[in-house]
Amino acid sequence: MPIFKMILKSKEIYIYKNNYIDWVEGYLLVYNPLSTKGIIILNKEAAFLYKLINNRRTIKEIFLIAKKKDPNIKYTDIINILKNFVYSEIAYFDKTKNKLNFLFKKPIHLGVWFHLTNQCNLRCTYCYVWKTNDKMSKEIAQESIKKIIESAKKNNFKKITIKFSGGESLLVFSQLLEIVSLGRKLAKKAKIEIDFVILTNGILLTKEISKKIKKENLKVSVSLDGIGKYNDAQRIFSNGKGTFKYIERGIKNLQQTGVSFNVSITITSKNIENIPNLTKYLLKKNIPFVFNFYRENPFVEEKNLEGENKKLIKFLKKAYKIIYKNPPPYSLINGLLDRVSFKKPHFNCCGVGINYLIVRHDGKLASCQMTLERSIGSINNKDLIKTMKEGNFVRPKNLTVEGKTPCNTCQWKYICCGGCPLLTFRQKGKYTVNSPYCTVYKALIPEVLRIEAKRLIKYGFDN
Amino acid sequence: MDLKKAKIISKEDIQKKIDLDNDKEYIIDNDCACETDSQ
Repeated sequence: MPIFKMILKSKEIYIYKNNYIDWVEGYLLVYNPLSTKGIIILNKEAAFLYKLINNRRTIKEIFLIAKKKDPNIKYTDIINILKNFVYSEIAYFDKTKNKLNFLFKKPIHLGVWFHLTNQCNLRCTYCYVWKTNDKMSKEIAQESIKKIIESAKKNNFKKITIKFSGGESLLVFSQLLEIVSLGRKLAKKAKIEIDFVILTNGILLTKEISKKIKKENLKVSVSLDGIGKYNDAQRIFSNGKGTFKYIERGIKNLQQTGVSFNVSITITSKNIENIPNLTKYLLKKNIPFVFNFYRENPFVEEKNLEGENKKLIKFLKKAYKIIYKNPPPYSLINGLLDRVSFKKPHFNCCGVGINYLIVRHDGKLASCQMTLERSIGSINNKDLIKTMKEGNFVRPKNLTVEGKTPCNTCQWKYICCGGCPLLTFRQKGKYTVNSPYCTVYKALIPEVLRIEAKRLIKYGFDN
Repeated sequence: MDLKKAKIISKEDIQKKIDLDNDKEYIIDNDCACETDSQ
């Protein structure tokens, strides 16, 4: 029933019991983790009215109390504000609908990692790829993009994001451009939206390549793990030399040519202490960034790369404090805490077996970029999406956060979903439990919400 | 208290108010990670 009709019928108003609230700079932050509306900020007048809703008072009673505070307020004014609460999904009129229900919908956006090459000009200490000189042949590349689009169409996906990865995808840049061109042509014919992201270490981002990227309207994600020696402790050339100054040069080229890009940071025990300074550096340059926690994998010889949870909390809090002080106009919220996503409530931390597929350089398929060595089929299979679903390694099949016992009562379960299933399995031996980073997520989610609140306050109110 | 001044703000309002180009908004998604199952 539309809100307008509902309010005419309704005598009462209620607030959702899941609502998380906090005070930020004199404003009330209200966040309903089951809503798609995100964080809602109330000024002190709106906060006063919100606080009057106690799930017992009628709207009329709320009006009478409000009138004592402001004798000029009219009943219709109150109704309009309450309607806004309901529209923002922090309150509801219908007593029987005390929980926002969201159902698992068939995904319409397919993410494909296109593993163009096993070659890389770097030897990063934590990399999950066993580097060789093998790269994708022209025939496999063409067949792969063709089969991806065919299968996406057959399974009613409306959008595809191709992420060029490797190895270093810019080592085969001309081939990458050929795939973009073919992909666009085939997707247009199939009436599917398609976009492309280059995942790169940034070394080869010359002015010339940056200009071509801009011309082709491709997006870029550059890996950078710290300033100077902190980056160079883990992102190195094969001769062991550091890469910071080369990445910095690549980033500068991207900025000068106006390419849309972000910086992806992998946090390990080696660079954690530098994350606050790196944050300051990126904010100053107006570069959006995302934080990912290191995930252990079989190809890493070095031990203890995971940042201790206590240390992660300590240094991320410091980084958050810097962002909080002067948040940029764009929202960083979905990239500040590893696999925690505030975009919409969801049941699974990642799209493994659902809307996420990896095509290896040899045309074999994998479920996840972290399990490249485990083939689940090949591009010769009839329906790649079917192969993707059948190849899902998570057990029991169709496991969602609802099946992770420790997550049952957690208020954040639909935004973190128990974390990366593979990492959980590798560290805890089963999928049905919470992430090893659970304590970090729980400690820092309120801090991330405060950053987003500060952004809304800074840019939303005429202070 | 002037309750007529009551105001609430959400991300939708900010997106309208600030001249953000779509690309910049998009790329803050965690591109270097696996997709979530959300649409």
